[in-house]
Amino acid sequence: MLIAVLVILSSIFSISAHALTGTDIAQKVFDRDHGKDSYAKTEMTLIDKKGNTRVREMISQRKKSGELEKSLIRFTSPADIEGTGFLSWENKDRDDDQFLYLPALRRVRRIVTSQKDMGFVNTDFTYEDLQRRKVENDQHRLLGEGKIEDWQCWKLESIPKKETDSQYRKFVSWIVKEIYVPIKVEFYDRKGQMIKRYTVNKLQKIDGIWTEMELVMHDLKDNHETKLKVKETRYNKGISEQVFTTKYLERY
Amino acid sequence: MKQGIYKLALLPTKYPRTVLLIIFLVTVISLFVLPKIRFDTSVTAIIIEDHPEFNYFREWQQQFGTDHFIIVVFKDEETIFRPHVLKLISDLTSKIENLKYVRRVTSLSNAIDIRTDKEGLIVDSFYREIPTTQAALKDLSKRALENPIFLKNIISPDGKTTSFLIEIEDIAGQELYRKITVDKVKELFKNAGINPIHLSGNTVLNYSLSDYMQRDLSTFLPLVLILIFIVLYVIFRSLPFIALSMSVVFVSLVWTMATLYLERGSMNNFTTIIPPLIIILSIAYSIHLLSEYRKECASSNAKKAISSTVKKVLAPCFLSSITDIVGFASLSISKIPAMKDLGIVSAIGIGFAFIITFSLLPAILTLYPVYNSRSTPKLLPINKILIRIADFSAHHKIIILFSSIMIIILSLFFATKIKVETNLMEFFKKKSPFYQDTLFMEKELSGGTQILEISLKAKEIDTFKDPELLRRIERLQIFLTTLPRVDKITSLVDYLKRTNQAFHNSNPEYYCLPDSRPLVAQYLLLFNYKDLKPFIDTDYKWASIQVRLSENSSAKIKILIEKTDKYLKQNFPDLETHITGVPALEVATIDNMVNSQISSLPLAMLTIFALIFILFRSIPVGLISIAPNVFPLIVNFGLMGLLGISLNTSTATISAIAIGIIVDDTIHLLHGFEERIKLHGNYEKAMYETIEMKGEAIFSTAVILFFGFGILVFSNFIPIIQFGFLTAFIMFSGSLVELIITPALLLHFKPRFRKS
Repeated sequence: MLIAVLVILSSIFSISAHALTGTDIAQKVFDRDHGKDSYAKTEMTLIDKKGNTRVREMISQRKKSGELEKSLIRFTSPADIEGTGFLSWENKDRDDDQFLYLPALRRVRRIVTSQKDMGFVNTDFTYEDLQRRKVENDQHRLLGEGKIEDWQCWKLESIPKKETDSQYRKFVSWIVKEIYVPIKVEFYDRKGQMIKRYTVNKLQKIDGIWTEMELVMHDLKDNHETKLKVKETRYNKGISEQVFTTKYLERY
Repeated sequence: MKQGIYKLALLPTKYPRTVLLIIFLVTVISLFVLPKIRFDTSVTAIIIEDHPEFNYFREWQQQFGTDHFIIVVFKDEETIFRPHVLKLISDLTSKIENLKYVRRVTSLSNAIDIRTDKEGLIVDSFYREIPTTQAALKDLSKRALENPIFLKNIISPDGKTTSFLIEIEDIAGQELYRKITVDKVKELFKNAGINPIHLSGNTVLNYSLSDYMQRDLSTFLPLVLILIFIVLYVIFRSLPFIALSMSVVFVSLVWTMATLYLERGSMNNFTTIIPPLIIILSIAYSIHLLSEYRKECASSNAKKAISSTVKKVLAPCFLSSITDIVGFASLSISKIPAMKDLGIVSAIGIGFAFIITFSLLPAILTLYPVYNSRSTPKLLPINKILIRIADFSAHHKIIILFSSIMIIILSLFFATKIKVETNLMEFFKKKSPFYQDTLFMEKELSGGTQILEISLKAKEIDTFKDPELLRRIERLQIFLTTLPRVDKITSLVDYLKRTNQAFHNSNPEYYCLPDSRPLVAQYLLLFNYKDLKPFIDTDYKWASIQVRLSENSSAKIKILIEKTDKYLKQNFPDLETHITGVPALEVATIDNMVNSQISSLPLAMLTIFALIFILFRSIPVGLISIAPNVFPLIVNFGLMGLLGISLNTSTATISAIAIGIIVDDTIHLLHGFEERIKLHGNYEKAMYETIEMKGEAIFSTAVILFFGFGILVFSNFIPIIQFGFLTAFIMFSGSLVELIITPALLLHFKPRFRKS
C-alpha cells in the first residue's frame, strides 16, 4: 500500500516537474539543434495574387559562432541576379550586421535597415522575420496543444514587447513536441488582424537534424506567397569561417 | 377609335374603388423600396461607363491602383523641419495607421529613403528619431528636398508643406466606413493641434459628393413642395383641390423613385434633380384637369363634369406628356450613367404622372365630387394681361419679328463660344472646402491633383528590366515635362535612379539609370513588391507612369493626351500603350456628350414636331408651333456662351428636356384654339376665348416651372445650379415667347385646322 502511494506521489511530482511554460518552449525552440553549420541548396518560388510565379535558386550557409550565428545567402539563378549575396552577422545586444553584394556593381555595401517590415528581396519574409527572435524579446504563453497533420504540437502565443518595436502585435505558433520545430505560425499585425501565415509542408530528419524541407510564407493581405524548397542540405561539415566574411562575399 | 379611347379613359369613373385600390397597393409596395436607394458618389457615375475607356481604367486599377485614399496636407508657417512638427508627423502616422479601416499610411516620417552615409547603405524610413540639433535638422531638410521622389510629393520646395497619403481598405458598397475614417482622421489632426488641414483624394471627393447630395435633396424637396402649394392655393383657393393635386404628386414621386431603384438602385449627384423635376412636371396635368373641371362644374352637374373634363383635356395632356417623355428618353442613349438614369427614370415618371392624374383624380372625383364655388377666373386678372399681350403682339408684328431675328443672330454668335467641358473640380463651388483644399495643394505642394496614368504593356516578362527601354521611359518623362501644366512624373525609373545614386555614396552624379540589365535586376531586389506596386507589376512586364497635372480643363487635357499618345506610338511601337486615369475618362465623357447631343437632340426635336403635325394634321399649324419653341433653345445656347457656362454632363441635358416641356403650353394653346375655331371659325374671337379658357392653367404651370427649376440654383453642385438657372430662364422666355409670338402667328397666318 505504501509503495503504491509512493509511486503515485512520485509520478505526480514528475508531472509537475516536467510542466513546461511558454517561455520554456520558446527557449527550447531557440536552442534546438540545427547543426554547428549547415549548407543548403534551396529553390524559392514567388507567387502573386494572379498566380504568376518567379523561381530563384540560392545557396544558404550558416555557422554557429559561440552563441551567435552567421549566415550567407547566395543567389545562383536566374542569371540576372546570379552572384548576389547577402551576409548577416548576429549580434548580442543590437540588430544584426547585414551586407549586400551586387555582382553587377562588384561592390559590397553594408545595409543598415531598421526598417524591419521591409520585405527581403521581394519575398514575403521581412527582415524582422529573418532574424532569430530572442526569447526575452517576447512575452510567451502556452495556449494548449494541437495536431497538425501527424504532428503533435504545442500551441504558443508570443507577444513582442513594446521596446522591440516589432511590426507584429502577436504570433501564434504550432511547435512540434519533442523536436521543437515550429511548423505553423500565424502573424498578427498591430490591429490584431492575421496578415501572414507560415507553414512547413515537409519536415525531414537529415544528418540527425530536423529540417524544414518545404515551407510557405503566405501574405494574406496581398495574397502573395513565397515558397522555399530545400533541394539538398548537409550539416556539420565544418564550413570555414572565411565564408562568412565580406571578402568572401565579394568573390564570385 | 376616339370612342374607344374615351371609354378607356373613363374607366376610372366607372370603377373608382378598384382603381384607387390598385394605386394604393402599388404605392405602398413602392414605399418599401425607397429606403433601399443608395447614394452613389463614385466619380464614374457622372463620367462615362460601359465604354472601352472605362473598362480599361478598371483593369488598370486592379493592377496598380487604389480607388480609396485620403490625402492630408498641412503647412507649417515656419518649417516642417523642426522637432515639434517632425514628432507630430511621426505620431500621427502611427495613430492613423492604427485606425480600423486604414490599410497603409505614407508620410514624411515613414517614406522609404535609400541613401548612403558613413555607416553604409541605408534603406529605411526617412527618419526614426527626431533630430534635435540645428545641424541634424538642416541635414534632414536637405535630404528631403534633394530626393526627387519626395519633392513635391511629400514635401514642398520651401519645406513648409507636407502630405500624408492614407490608403483605405476596399470594402464594397459601404459609404459609412469612408465617412467614419475621414472624420477620425480630421479628429486626430485636430487633437494634435494642427489646423487647418487640407483634404483631398478620391475618398474625400466621394465624401463631399455624398454630403452635397443629401443637402441638395433636403433643400430641394421642401422648397418645391412649398412652391407648388402656394401656386395651387392662389389658383384654386380650395383645400380639396390642393390635396388632390398634392396626392397626384406624391404618388407620382413614389412610383418614380421606385423606378429609379429598379433601374439602377442608386442616386447620384445629378439624379438628385429627379424628385423636384417629377414634382413640378407632374403637377401640370392636375392643374389642367382641375381647372377644366372647375369650369365644367359651373355649367353642368358634378357627375357629368368629370367625364366631359376628361374628354376635353385628355388629348392635349397626353400629347404634352408624350413630348416630355420623348425629350427625356432621348437622354437614355447616353453612356454616362447619370444622364441615362435621368432620361429613363424621368420619362417613365412622367408617364406615371399622366396615368396617375387621369386615374386618381377621376376616381376620387367620381366618389366625392367637389364643387368649387370659388371658380372665378375673374379673380385672376392674369387673363386680361395675357389678352393684352396677345393684342399687342398682333399689332406690332414687324417689331417683334425684327427683334426676334436680332436676338437669334446674337445668340448664335455667342453660342459659338461655348466650351465643352467635364471638369470635376469645377463642379464644386469655389468656396467649398474640397475646391479650396485642392487649390491649396496645387499651389503649395505639387501643383497637380489630376493624375494621368500612362500604361505600358509588354508581351514578355522582365521586359522592364531592359536598360534601353528604361532610357526610353526616361526620355518620355522629359518629353512630358515640356507639356503645359505637367507637374510631376513618377515611374520605376525614378526609383532605380535613386537606388543607383545611393549605391554610389549618394553622389548626385549617379542619379541616373544603371547600364546593365543584371544591375537593374539586382537593384530591384531591394524593393518589396508592395513598394513599387503603383509603377510595375511583379512580372516586370506592365509598367505605369504617373503624371500629375495641374490642368483642370478637360478640353485642354484632351490635347495633352493626344500629343502624348502620338509620342508613345512613335517611340514605343513594341509595347501596348494606353493613357488612362480619371482625366482620360473625363475626356472620353466630353466626346461622348458632344456626339450624343449631335445625334439625340435633332432626333428629339423631329419627333416632337412630328407629333404636333400628326395631332393637328395641318402643316401650317405645325410650322407655327416650331418657331416659339426653338427660339428659347437658341437663346439658351447664346446665354451659355455669353456667361461662359460650359456644355457639361448637366447642361448638355437641358435642350432635350426643355424642348419636351416648352411645347406643352403650345399644345394646350393650339388645342384650345382649334376647338374654338371649329365652333365658329372666327380667329380673333377664338384667340380671346382660348386665352380665357387656358390662360390661367398655362400661366400657373409656367410659374411652377420657372420657380421649380429656379430652386435648383440652391444646389451645392455647380452643374445643377447651371441647369436650374438656364432651364428656368428657358421656361420664362419660352412662356413669354409663346404668349407673344403664337397668337400673332395664328392671327396673321390664319392657318386652317383639319376639317372635322
